[in-house]
Amino acid sequence: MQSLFILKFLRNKISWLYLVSGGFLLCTALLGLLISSVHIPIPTILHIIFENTFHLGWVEGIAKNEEMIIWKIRLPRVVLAFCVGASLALAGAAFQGLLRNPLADPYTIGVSSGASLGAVIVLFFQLTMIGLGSFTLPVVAIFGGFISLLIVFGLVRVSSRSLAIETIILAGIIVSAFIGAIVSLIISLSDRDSMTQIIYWLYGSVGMRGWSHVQLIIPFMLVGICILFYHHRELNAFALGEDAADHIGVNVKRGKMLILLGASILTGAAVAVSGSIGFVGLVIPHLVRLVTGPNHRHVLPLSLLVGGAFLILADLVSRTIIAPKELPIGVITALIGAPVFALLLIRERLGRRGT
Amino acid sequence: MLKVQDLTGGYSNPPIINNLNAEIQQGEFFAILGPNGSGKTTLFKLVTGQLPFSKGKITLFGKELTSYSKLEKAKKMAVLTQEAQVAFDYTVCEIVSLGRYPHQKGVLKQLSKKDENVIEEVMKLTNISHFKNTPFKMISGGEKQRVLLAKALAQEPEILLLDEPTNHLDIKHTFQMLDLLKERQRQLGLTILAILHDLNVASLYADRIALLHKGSFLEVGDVNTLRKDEQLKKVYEVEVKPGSHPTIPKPQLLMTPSYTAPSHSVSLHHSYRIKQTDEFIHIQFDQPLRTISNGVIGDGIQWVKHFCNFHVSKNYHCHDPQRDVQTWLTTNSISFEQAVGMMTAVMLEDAVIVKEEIEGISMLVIVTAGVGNAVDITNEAALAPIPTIGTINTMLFIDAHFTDGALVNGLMSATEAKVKALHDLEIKDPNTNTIATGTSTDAIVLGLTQQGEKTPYAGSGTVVGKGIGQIVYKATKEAIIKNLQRASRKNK
Amino acid sequence: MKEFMKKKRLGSIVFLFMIALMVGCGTENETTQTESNAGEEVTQETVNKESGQFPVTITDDAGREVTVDDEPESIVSIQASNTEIAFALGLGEKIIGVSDYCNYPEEALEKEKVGAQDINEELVLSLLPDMALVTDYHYNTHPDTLDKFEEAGITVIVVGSASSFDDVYEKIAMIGKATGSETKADEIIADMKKRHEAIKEIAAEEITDKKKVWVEVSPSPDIYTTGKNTFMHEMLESIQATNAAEDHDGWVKLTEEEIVKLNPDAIITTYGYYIENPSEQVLSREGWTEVPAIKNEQVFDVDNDTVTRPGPRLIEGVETLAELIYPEVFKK
Repeated sequence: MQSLFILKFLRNKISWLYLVSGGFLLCTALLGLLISSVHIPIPTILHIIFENTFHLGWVEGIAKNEEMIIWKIRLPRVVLAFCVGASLALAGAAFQGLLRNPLADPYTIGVSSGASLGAVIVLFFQLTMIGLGSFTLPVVAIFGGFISLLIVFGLVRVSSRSLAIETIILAGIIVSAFIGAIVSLIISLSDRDSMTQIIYWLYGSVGMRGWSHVQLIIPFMLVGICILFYHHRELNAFALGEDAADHIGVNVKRGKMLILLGASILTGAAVAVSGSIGFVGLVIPHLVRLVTGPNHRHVLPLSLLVGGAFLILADLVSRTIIAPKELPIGVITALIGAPVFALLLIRERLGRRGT
Repeated sequence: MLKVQDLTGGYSNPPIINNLNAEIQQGEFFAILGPNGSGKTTLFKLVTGQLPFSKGKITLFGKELTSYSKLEKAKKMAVLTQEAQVAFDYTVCEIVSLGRYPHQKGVLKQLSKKDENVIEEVMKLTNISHFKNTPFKMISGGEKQRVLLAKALAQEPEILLLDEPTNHLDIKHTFQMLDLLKERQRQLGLTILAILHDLNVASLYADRIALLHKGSFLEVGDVNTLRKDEQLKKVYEVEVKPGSHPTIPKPQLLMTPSYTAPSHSVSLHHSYRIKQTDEFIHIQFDQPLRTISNGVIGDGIQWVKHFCNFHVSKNYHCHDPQRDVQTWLTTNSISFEQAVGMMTAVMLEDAVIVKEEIEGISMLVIVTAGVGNAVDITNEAALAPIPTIGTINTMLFIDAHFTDGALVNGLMSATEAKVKALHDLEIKDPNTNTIATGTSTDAIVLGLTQQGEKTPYAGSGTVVGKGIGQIVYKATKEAIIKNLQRASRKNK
Repeated sequence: MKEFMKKKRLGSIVFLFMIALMVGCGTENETTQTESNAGEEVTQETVNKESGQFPVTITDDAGREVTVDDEPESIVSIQASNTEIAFALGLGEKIIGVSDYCNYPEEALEKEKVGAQDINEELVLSLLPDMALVTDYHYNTHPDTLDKFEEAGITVIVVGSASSFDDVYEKIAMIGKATGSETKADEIIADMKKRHEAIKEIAAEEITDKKKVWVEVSPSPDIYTTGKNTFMHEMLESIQATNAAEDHDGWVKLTEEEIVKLNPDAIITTYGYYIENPSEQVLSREGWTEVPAIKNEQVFDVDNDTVTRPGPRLIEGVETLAELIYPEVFKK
């Protein structure tokens, strides 16, 4: 009963939640900009940011290299971490709502496997496409993601007229498994250097990228956000089951497809720019739901904010904990995410026993 | 308002719903009945649009149902199925507000003031406001159904479709829900189309019913259609006896199971015990008898094991005779639910017990008779109500099998015999000085073992009827004589 | 309350647009910079400054025309071979950053580590060297990083991979020219060539019975060898030895059966720096007892860095090999 009280209390202060989440985001962003292998004072950091965005700088004589470090390395890294974390968390929330399963995850649908395969192929064959240059990898990855999504959809259409959720999950698993096998095959065929590259890519990272990668993910992210935010009511309606949703007037088929599309776009773009980073899409929506309840009107935007902030934090940890070496960010998210998830599980079970 | 024409459709091949026709009027409560597997849910899904139909037409307000957009349809038609599973911890209020989906406007799709008002109202109506912030998962089954009903009502529909909405609800919640629906129907003219599994419940609430049999409606009509037990047997393949509700003029159906308890004929005279004191006479039978009586307790047609005649004093003023008899029965550890109870001021040692075997039919009769308040029923003088219980109480038991009609007939025969006894003894009505026909407080119970072959007759043209006449005449005459003798002894 | 919520959501959208703005402004700067870099072209042999050579234009291994305005005072080298070359050229003092794997000479171990395949951009930028020596791998995989370096004023020279002695001489020359140590570079190259020629001559004269040598660069079970177009191959040819894997190209993997069939007279391993007792392991292989190299215990380990790294120590590698394979001829 006590948790019920807390729930009610918190749900009434939904605007506070947005405030807190926004604040959390800003703090982690600042921390991410501040803490790194090289120390640069905060006023300098702020000046550089303002100077480059609004031409409102105030400090004189900033060394070029400091400006470069903040503007070209740290800030895009922090922004990219936010974008990737936000995309994954939002996609995760959408998948969980759509599949009505708290274990659903952006990787359930097979999109990330396809994106990974695309990336692995580029790394193995050292491909560089004309006109794309260093964008070859992300672009091929997004294509890979879409192709695997099409395959999954194709499979589902053939076996279930109504795009049944169970069929979607199964098809996603089948496609993921198959693609995973191909990835393993490629890894086994590659020489040691390529192997290291591929494995490190698969672990995920938001470093060694730049504004170009941010530019790449932003449009996809915006599209995905628009689609999913627009369908927040449908996500709520699906909680009653598809028949009941149909009865209150929801266009179930179209809603499903659009939500899947939106979530897949977010996932594909995120994996394309940063490799496969797990647990964000799984755990963040749960944490958000704990506090706001399952109403997607709030779960979606808050997952966005919290997911982004979380990944900025994880990235910060990954590059400071064994400095100057970097841990793969996927490892950090798993190390934090798995115990948190376990805790949630225990808490839920204990809670149920108590009532 | 909802018209179904030549509807054909279903999962299997050939489809289970075949050329079905129906027309549901606006504002009526229409119930669809049928056994498991008759296709009720399939028909339901065809109408709601979940299942596509291969042939036929469904129109709502004259417009084809398939031509409505999803949102338009949801504004007109709301659906309530059996209890739904809800993923995640949505609160009751959140679930109910989903019902406003088809009405929400604007880009951001917020809940408008009107939406909130409707939600408040339906929650109040279904009596769920007090737990509107509780997670849906945590409430009871009955409460969940009320919440889902509120959600359906929040759509402000013109027709509400229900698929066995009370399937798993207990009696109280079943009636609660249906009362609510009926209220809504009355107040707002809401049309209700419901699949119900309980025939008796359907009889009490529906305006019209339809029996689904082999893919189409065998019968469509008002609830009295349920009296057609032949049709019911065809559809349900069970023996069904239409009876009447004691207070509401609607049919209620009584099912007969095909199993019968192993029967072994018992002789009437070996199946009872009589206990007689100054306070009461109590006859207890091993098996319940089919009785018809006008006792203080156990009146009407019942199955009864215990038969009691209580002695009361001459000055007994009955404010609540039922209560008194109940108490006396309970005091003597006799369950009054299975008893017929009567009262008399006659001294019980004057009771007459006669056992006979007439033409092979065992009969037993016990009569107490007091004629102090004998009345000629045909006289015109207004009778001042005499609270005294002088009374002729007759308890007649026959080892035979009577229909309800025969029971009535048997009573008639017994009464004829009683009147003849009074006549032969020249008992007079003191007010009119004409031959009395009975007393003002006579009571009779006729109990049958229901063994043997069924007979619908027990009048003077039958053996058993004549037997009743003889035995009742004999016993009544004897009892009256005893009573008169005691009276004259007293007067001396 | 609802309006407040709307504002919050609006705020988040504004935040996102802010980012988009910054992205837009950021990349604008990038593109202008790389354009200006490519535009610059200063011809060779122009103004002879005090050091006598600068500014100088070279074409690096990525085909880029790079102009070095002044003699670099600080250098970061993100490849072990380049580091060795730089130290050999006498630039040891000027080196302020090396890769994680730079291990020769000893002084290199004390320099700041700036990464290997992945470069710690921030660190390099904060060190702000005048020149950075990177590999073609860096050029292909992290061109953004190199752009950033150039934008910050660091001269980036791409030193590609080498597979022959001549390749190495080219690279030493290029680095020498770019760092104002051409004289020293010429010295080193001349020295290496002289010593190499010397061995070739002796071998050609004295060796009549060519031995077949099997080279292993990784231990069982994944045994890799050096085929054609590797330093090892070239070295073996110089000393009049036959490379058992001469029919293969580059680094290839062979099964034990195939190797036994080749019947080598001697076996060279290069993995002694991380495997203990490599010779013992090889000698104790089952089924190899009839192989001449095993029978005669002609299994030797050489310093991997001297035979695979395209640097000045390659010559040491040849000399060591010669002594091991034909001790009668070369061990004096």
